[in-house]
Amino acid sequence: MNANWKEELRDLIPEDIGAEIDTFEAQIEQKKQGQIDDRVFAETRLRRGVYGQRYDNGQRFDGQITKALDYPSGDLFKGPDTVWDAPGMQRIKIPYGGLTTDQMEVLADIAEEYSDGILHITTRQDIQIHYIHIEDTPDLMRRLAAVGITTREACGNSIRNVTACPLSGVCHTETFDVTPYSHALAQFLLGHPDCQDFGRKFKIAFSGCAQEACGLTSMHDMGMIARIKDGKRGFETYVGGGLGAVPHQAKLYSEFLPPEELLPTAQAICRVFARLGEKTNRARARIKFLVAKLGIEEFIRLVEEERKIMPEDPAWTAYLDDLDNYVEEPLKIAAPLNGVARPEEFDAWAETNIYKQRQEGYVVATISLPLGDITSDQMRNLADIARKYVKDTIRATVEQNIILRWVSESDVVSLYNDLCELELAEPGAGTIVDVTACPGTDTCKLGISSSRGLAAELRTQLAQQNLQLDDAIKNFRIKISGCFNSCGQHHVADLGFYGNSRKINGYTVPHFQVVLGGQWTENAASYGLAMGAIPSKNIPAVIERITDNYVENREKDESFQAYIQRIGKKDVKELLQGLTQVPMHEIDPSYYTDWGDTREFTLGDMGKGECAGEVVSLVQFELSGCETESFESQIYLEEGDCEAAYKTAFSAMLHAAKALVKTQYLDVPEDAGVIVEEFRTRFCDTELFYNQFAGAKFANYLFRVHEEEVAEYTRDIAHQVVEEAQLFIEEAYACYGQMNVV
Amino acid sequence: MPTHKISVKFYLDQGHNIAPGTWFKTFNNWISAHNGADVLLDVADYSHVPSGPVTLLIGHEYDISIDDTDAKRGLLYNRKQPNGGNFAQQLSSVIRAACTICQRLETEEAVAFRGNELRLILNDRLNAPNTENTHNAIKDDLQALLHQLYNGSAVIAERRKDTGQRFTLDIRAEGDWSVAKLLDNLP
Repeated sequence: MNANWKEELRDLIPEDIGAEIDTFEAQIEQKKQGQIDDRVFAETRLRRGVYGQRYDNGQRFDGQITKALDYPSGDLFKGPDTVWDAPGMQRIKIPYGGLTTDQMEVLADIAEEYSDGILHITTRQDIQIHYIHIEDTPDLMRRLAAVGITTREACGNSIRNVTACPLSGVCHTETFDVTPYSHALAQFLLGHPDCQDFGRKFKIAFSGCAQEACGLTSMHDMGMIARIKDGKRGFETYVGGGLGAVPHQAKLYSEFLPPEELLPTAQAICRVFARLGEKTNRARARIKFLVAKLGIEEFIRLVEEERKIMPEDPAWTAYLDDLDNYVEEPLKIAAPLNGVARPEEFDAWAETNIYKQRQEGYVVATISLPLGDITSDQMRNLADIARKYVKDTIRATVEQNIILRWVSESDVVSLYNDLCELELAEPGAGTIVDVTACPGTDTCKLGISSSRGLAAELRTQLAQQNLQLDDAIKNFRIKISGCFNSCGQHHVADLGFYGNSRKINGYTVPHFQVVLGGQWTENAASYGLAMGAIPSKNIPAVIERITDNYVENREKDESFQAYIQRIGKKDVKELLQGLTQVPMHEIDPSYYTDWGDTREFTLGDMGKGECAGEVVSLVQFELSGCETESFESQIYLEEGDCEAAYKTAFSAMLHAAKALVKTQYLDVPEDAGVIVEEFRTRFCDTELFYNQFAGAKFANYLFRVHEEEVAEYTRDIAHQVVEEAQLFIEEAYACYGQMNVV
Repeated sequence: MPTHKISVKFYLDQGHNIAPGTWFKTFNNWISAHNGADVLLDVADYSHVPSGPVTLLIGHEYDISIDDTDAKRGLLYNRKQPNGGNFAQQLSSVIRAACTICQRLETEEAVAFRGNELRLILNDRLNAPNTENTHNAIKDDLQALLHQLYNGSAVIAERRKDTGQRFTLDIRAEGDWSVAKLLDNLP
């Protein structure tokens, strides 16, 4: 029999995390046996970061016709319209982008063994790998868990990866290092019971200062900017920002939130969002709509009320004792770069890719990744380079790059030479060449136009022109999204684009909406203005005309944002005249295919996106978890482990009771005695949990097993409880259904 | 059997300069024309990434890529799903599939592959770690197959020793070998 990762890594994975992955593996098995509803399973896998991918509805347009993809799984689905065997994307959470060398190696390995050997850095410091088969995901998760990485809540209606400025701790302008705070909040909210009933996702960001871009707090559901008040650390806190189709600037929640209030306030905000946020209309379910609807004053009042009634949690302040333990130490001593021979292209690279740290003698080196992609071999070798120069001070950035912090200045040339060996020494980090793009039509079901295809083309063209580009535009940001949902963050770029299409001459033609003058700095302080849709193939010409005009006509020291505001939409439209035209198909068919593709353009490959997750009520979700426990108890019974079967079956009943109790008493503690008594009072005595034929029979199963003292876990005893658990859960579903009808 | 996750790469002899767009178009056409029992799904363009997969044809059972790893362009066939039989049979089946694809590309594009050199990868660090034990476990099957494949010519198989890498053998045979000849020799 072949080895398996579960046994191999047993000692390296924390018990609770291992159990969660085992449960997910059991849920996969249950789904294959038709025991879980498609929507519930979809949300279950999304909360494990297991995401759908383009063509997973089982069809693909080949340039002429849409053909069925005949997967062997046939009619088995892993979500509504999502075929079981269709490969998907795995999103991997990297809180604040922090990576260790061991983690980089495992990421490289899993991309090689389960994906296509490419790791993609996202605009939220996550890592994504594509073309993953769902049955490989539990092992993939185990291998990540063994090096301290989770995929939990990487997608779905949950707290997404908590991002932070990648220069935290080494930046010249920061107030203090936000890293340990972002880490603490990410850990606290991960899997938190109050974060399991959102109508949509929730994104959090930290920034060390107000003036730079790195944290992008203004475009987040919750954003924190480091502040000092009366010598004490705290956070200027914002809430209700977001991009998407309808961008909102975050509103000031508090000018100064002390660290001891950071976690409980975030929890209270989550509780208000879970309780009052929209659940039905997915387009208006983000917290930005709730804040806009209530008004920030009322929202703050509700959060403060919530904060007062929340049961005290020692975790709120426990992390404060650990803050001083967070120390990032350099591997090498600081020393200047004295007289070392510099390769010909070193200076150009250093100019854009090296940032001098606040700490004398150290620099941050940016590894500029084309379209955020890096091969497994490069990642593995980059881990070796990191070990040689900096140890574990590595971060992924929202600009889809990787940085090495704490490089001794004396090592910079040597590091550059090593990066050249790996073809990872591209200059231009943080400049107009360093184009950001979401996955778009390459892999995303919502993608309309090819954001990556356009980004690759622009990167190539601009890199060739780089030396001739005027200084005024060299540091422009170009950001591209495949659709209006803004994953490429086009609203906060100088030159932003999002995919759309137009019907012309009887053909659908790929276009991009041009969005100009967004502000990247000051934490994405203002959003750009939409200027009109232009055929994809004319976007390079748009950039040339706009930047040339800016260079020629800007007033002294006029920023691009001010210039766009000054000339206005009318002048921009004139400037782009002619570029909206699409030649007839017979004259130039290239307009009818997208960048990076050879097929005729179609919208037919689009599918229902999974960004919004599935709206599954907390009770439904928890009852589904109980079914999984019940399933596991049956497996234990089959395997002859009667004690585990008995205890797991009881746990399934208890959790089903708790799920119901939570509809009336959100903060019911985990204590079995309390759950049973609350359930008795609220559901049994009131006959809410009452079968019209069997009366309180099913409730009594729970009460009996709770009180039972078992001397010996025989097969008969275990078998009885396993059966009873199944019936109890069925009745819990019926009870919940009845409650909703009423 | 160590694993069914076997990859084989044959190197290009001619046609290094073919643009990624051409490969993309070719693979897309293959999806359109495909009527086999296996499933071809999508084409991915990674030509912006150095020394990696240039253009990738993703299937359910296997992936095919024009691959630039180690700056040596070739055709990489990567088996993902089990194909039945023991290791020797699976290995033979993978080499046959890779040769068949190379031959198809030689027919459709201005390319030629060197048959005398191939890279064999076991894409499974758990069941086939990069160790001498794994090498020993597959040695007999591999030698028997290579003997047939190269008609008894001298063959050198060198294992890459870097511990982080997957089990990888670089195999070279004496003489000139086309992929067509290899196909003729396969059992």
